[in-house]
Amino acid sequence: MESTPPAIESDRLHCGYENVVLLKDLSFSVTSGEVFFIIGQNGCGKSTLLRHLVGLQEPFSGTIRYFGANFTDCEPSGRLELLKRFGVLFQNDALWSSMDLSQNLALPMEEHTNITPGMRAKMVSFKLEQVGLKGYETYFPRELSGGMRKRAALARAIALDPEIIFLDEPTVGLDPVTARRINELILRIREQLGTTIVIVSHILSHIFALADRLIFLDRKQQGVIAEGAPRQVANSNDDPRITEFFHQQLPSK
Amino acid sequence: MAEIEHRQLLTDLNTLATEAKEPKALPNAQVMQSEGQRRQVKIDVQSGHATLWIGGVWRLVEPLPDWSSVVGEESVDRLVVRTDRLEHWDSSLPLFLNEMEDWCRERDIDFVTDEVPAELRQLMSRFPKLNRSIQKRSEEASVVFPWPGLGFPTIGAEIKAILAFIGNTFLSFVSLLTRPGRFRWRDCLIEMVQCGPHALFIVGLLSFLIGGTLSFQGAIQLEQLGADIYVVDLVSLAVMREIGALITAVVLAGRTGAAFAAQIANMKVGGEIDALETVGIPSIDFLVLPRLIALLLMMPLMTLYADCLGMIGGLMVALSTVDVSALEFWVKAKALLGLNDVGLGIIKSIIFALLIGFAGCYRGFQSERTSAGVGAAATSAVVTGILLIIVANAILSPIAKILGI
Repeated sequence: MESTPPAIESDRLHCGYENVVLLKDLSFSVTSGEVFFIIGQNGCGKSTLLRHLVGLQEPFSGTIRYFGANFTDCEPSGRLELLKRFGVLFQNDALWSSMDLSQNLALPMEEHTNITPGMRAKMVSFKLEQVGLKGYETYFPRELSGGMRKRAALARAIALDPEIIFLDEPTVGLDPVTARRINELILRIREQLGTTIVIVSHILSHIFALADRLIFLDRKQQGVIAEGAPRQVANSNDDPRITEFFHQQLPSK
Repeated sequence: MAEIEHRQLLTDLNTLATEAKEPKALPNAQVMQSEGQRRQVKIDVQSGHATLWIGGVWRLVEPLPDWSSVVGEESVDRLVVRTDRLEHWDSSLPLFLNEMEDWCRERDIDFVTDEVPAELRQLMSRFPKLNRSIQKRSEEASVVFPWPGLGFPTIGAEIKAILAFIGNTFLSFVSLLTRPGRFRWRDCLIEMVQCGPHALFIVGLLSFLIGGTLSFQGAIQLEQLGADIYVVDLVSLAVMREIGALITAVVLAGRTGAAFAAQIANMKVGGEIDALETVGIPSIDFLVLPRLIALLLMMPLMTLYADCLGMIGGLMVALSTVDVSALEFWVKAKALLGLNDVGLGIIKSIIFALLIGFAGCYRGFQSERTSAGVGAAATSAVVTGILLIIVANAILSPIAKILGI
C-alpha cells in the first residue's frame, strides 16, 4: 500500500464461537483517528467480533491487521507489541477486583513501561483526573458506583495512551448524564491523542453524536449489510432491517 | 415485539374486564362446581347436546375448576360455550377454555364458541394447541456425567488441555527466572498467609487427633501381643511417612485448592482474565505462579508442623493407654526415625502442593462464565485435588519402599 495503512483491517474474517459461525467473509477497515461503530441487533456477533479484534478468540479463518501488521498469525512477541498499542473497555468494566484503582491503572504501566514508581503514581492520578475520578486512587472497584467503575475502566483502557481504544457498550446501564460525560470524554481523548476508537453500541443518540463511520452487522446475513457515515446509512437505505433499527428508538411525538 | 403483544393482551383483558355484562337468567341447570369466590361453571345436558355456562369472576391465582369433574360421565357430541354472566376474567379463562377445546378434540366432540366474545376466542387461540408441542430442552444434558465433580466432556481433549496448562505454567516459570522482578511477591505473600498461618489450627488439630487415634488403635492391638512399646514405631513411622503430608494436603486441597479455583473462576466471570490478556499480561504469570509458589513454599513447612502435632497426639494417647513413659517414647522415636522418613514426607508434600495448585488453578480457568460455574469450579477443584493426592500417595509409598527411602 502506498499511503499509510489503515489502523485496523479485517480481511475475509470468519468468526464465531465453538462450532457456530456468526460472521462470514467479513472485510472492513478503520482509518487512523476515526470513531468507528459496530452496530446491529442483539446476537448478531458484535461482541464476538470485538473479542476477535482484541485477540481473545481466534478466527476460523481470515486475518486481522493493525497498522499493516498481521495480528492473527504472528509470534507472541509481535502480538504483545500490538497489544500494547490498544486499550479495551469491557462491557462489565472488568476491573481487577483484588486491586484498588491505582493498582488497576498501574499494572499495565508496570508491565509495559519503565517509568519509576513515583512517576507511575503521578500518571495514575493524572489518568483518574482525566475521567473525573481524582482522589479515588485507594478505592476498590466494589466501593464504586456503576458509572464510576465504567469511568475507572476507561481510565485503565487509556492508561498506556493507546493508539486504538475498543469500547464494548461503554454507556450501557448508565444514566443519560453520565453517559453523555463518557461520550464527551471519548471525543476529548480522540482530539487530544488522535486515537482511533472502535465502539460497539446500539444507542442511536450516541451513534449519531460520535460516529464517523459504522458497519451494520446482521445475524441472518452473517456479515455487514450497511457501511458508511451514520446519517448516510440511516437515510439512504431502504433495507427494512436498517430502517427498523434506526426508527425503533426515535421518540414517538 | 413480544412486549407489544403483551401490552395488547393486557388491554384486551382490561377492556373485557370493565365491560359490563347484563346478567341473564339461567335455565334450571345443575351446579357442578363452585370453587373460588364467585366463579360459576354450570353444565346443562340435553340429549347429547351440552351447554356450558361460564360466569362470575375468573382469577388465575384462585383454584381452577377441574374440567373432567365438571363434565362428569355424560356422553355428548356437541358442546356450546356461553359466557353471558361473565363479570371479570384474566388469562385463566382462555386457558381453561383452551384445555376444554383440547379435551373435546381428543373425543371428537364439537366445541362451539360462537357465543363467546371475540376477544376471548382470540386469546384462546394463542395458547399452544397441546402441551406436547412445547418441547423440553437441555434436561437430558444435566444428567449425563458419570463422574460427578469431574465431568469429562471428552477425555482426549481434557488431557490435552491439562498438559497444555502444565506446559504453559512451566514455560511461564522459566520466563520468570529470567525476569524475577516481574514476579508478584505481594500476591504470593497473601496466598502464603492463607495456606500457612490461617490453616495452622485446623491442620494441627486434625494431625493431633489422627496421631492420637492411630496410637489408640495400635495400642489395643499391640497390647494383646505384649508389644506395647512398638506403638512408638507405629505412630512415628505412619505420621512421618504418610499421615502428616496426607492430612496437610487434604486440608489444603479443601481450603486453598478450592479458594484458588473460586478466585480464578470469579475473575473469569467478571471478565478480569480477559482484561489481563488484552493488557498483554499472561494470566498464568499473574494468577497461577504466585499461588503455586506460595503452596510449594508453605506445604513442606505445614507438613513438618503436622508431623510434630501428630507425634504429640500419639504420645499423649500412648501415655494414657500403654505402659510407655514420655522419655521412652522420645528415645525410641529418635533412634527409629531417620532423615529419610522425614524427607519422604517433605518430598510427598511438595508433590501434593503441585497437584493441589494445578488442580485448583486449572479448574478455575476451566470454569463456565456463570456464577454457578464458580461453585462448580471450587467443588471440582477439591474433588480433583483429593483424588490426585490419594492416588499419588498410593504410588509414592511403594516406590519409596523399593528405593529404600
